[in-house]
Amino acid sequence: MITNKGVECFEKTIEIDNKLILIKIWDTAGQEKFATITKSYYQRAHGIIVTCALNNRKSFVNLKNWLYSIKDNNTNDNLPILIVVNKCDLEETREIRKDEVQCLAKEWNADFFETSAKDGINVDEAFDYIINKIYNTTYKKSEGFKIDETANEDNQSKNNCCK
Amino acid sequence: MNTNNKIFDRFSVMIIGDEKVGKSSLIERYTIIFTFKLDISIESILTNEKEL
Repeated sequence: MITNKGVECFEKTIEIDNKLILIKIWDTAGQEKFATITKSYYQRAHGIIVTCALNNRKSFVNLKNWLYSIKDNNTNDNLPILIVVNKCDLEETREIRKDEVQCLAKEWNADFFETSAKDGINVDEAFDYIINKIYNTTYKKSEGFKIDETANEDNQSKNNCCK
Repeated sequence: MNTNNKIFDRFSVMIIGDEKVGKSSLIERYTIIFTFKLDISIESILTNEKEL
């Protein structure tokens, strides 16, 4: 298991509608001591994935706190949010019912996926979903985001850490 | 595939949640295109080379 020490950035270039889009994925530390740093990044996000683990009830209970912290720190009311319940390979130790996640997702106007990073289940689908949602909602409405020139310097790179 | 290789735009996606729920592993799974593990020791390669 990898433990994060603040905020790290990973990149992947994908193609949508024949346009190359650089996806910057900001990986944040889950520990409370990094909360201030993490929250400072919320406003810049075009979409947020809120994660818990299928075998960890507490992480699901805390989802609401994470969702409220998004609301408090991002002014975009239409920000695409995706709830991801990870570790679905551990079905035998499940502590979160699917219907309660569904209910929470509905309450926050979000969608949800059950994934397994270990077995590669639904991971691409979840990321593709939020990226497409950003593209089809916020991006198209705003007629593009402002891009800085440095984004082109490493457009070949995949999985580059840019912390 | 777009051949001019120019980044048209940039999306920022954040991943948040409690620690040890697998956030980094999800990113790793999504961003790493291809991984493989070579389960061969240097000794066995050298031995095979000698035999050949």
